[in-house]
Amino acid sequence: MRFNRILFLLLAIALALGGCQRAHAESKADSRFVDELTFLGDSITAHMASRSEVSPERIWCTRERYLNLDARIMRARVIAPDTGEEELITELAARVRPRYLVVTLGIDYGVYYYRDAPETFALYYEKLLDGITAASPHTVLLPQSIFPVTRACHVVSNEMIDRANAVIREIAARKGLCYLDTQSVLRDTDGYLDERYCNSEDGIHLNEEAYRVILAYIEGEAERARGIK
Amino acid sequence: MKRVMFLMLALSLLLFGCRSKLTDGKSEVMSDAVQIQDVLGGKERFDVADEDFVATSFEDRVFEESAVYFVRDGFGEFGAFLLPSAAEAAAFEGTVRTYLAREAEAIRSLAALYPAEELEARLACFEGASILRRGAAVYYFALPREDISLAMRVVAGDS
Repeated sequence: MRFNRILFLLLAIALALGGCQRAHAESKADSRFVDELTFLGDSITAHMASRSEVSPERIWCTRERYLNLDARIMRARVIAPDTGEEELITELAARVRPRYLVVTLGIDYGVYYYRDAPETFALYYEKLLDGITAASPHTVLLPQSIFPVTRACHVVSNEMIDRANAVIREIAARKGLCYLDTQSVLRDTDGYLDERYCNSEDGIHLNEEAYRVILAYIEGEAERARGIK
Repeated sequence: MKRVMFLMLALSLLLFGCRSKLTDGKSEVMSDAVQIQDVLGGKERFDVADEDFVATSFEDRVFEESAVYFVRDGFGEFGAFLLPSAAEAAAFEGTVRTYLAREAEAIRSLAALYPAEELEARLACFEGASILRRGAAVYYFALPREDISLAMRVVAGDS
């Protein structure tokens, strides 16, 4: 009798352990890197809320959706997803402490007005990154490339964008951050934003397909991004 | 004796002249900046720009004194600068015009992409901006019209 009870107990434990392992394996298969990300940026990031599967709770953008990479970047206020209130980027970072923060900035102001002053572009980009790190030291920053534009864009050129991306890439390398070269999967054979991905006549803003491609690219970079501590 | 008296008189005038330029350790320009904030709602209404803002926005000039203040919960800004000489202040006025024109252009481009009342109001501040030069001092005001009037009165000594 006692032996039967022991046997029953062992069987119950074995079943329980087997169930846990299966649940763990299933959850690991379901979780994706992009689900751990928070995104900070201008209108191109803001549009992810309606054109991608990224939850609005993980998107930091301004009320007006534009966000200049300029001398006032540290005074810019984004909408905190949890409260709906405006906060400085560093204040929000200090309070929320996102695990990963994808930063996509520059198409507003920086690319054009600092096109001949890459050191000024670098100054304010780096100032922002340093400010976020000071506010939330454990947040892993993922600087993302500025996306290309189509032939229809008369405001900025891809040459200006390439120069700015070179600056961002250098900053990332120097700081040991993982640079997301997402622009590489959005270009056509002539180096412009592929028309399939463009949502607007201005040649800048993206559609749902573009965001699918972007998120797939970032997911593919998960291992490299996670390797940066 | 007369020479000594003359020398003492000259020294006194010189010292008096220097002190009238300084108020509690601040130059007149910076005192004006404080008073301007006071008449426009108080210091808590403004954020002072970092030094790198002044350096990158105004061609990295050498100033005796400089400060730019942004309206915190609103739009607009003003700057106060003391240059080494009146001649340099006259040249700097052109730099300020370039800065204001560039900012207005940037806001105009943004407003074309993102029509919003806030951008229109900001654009109005820069398009209607005023510059004032007084000796070696230069001030600019990219503010709502009524605030510019109040600020200019401070600089003119009418407040």
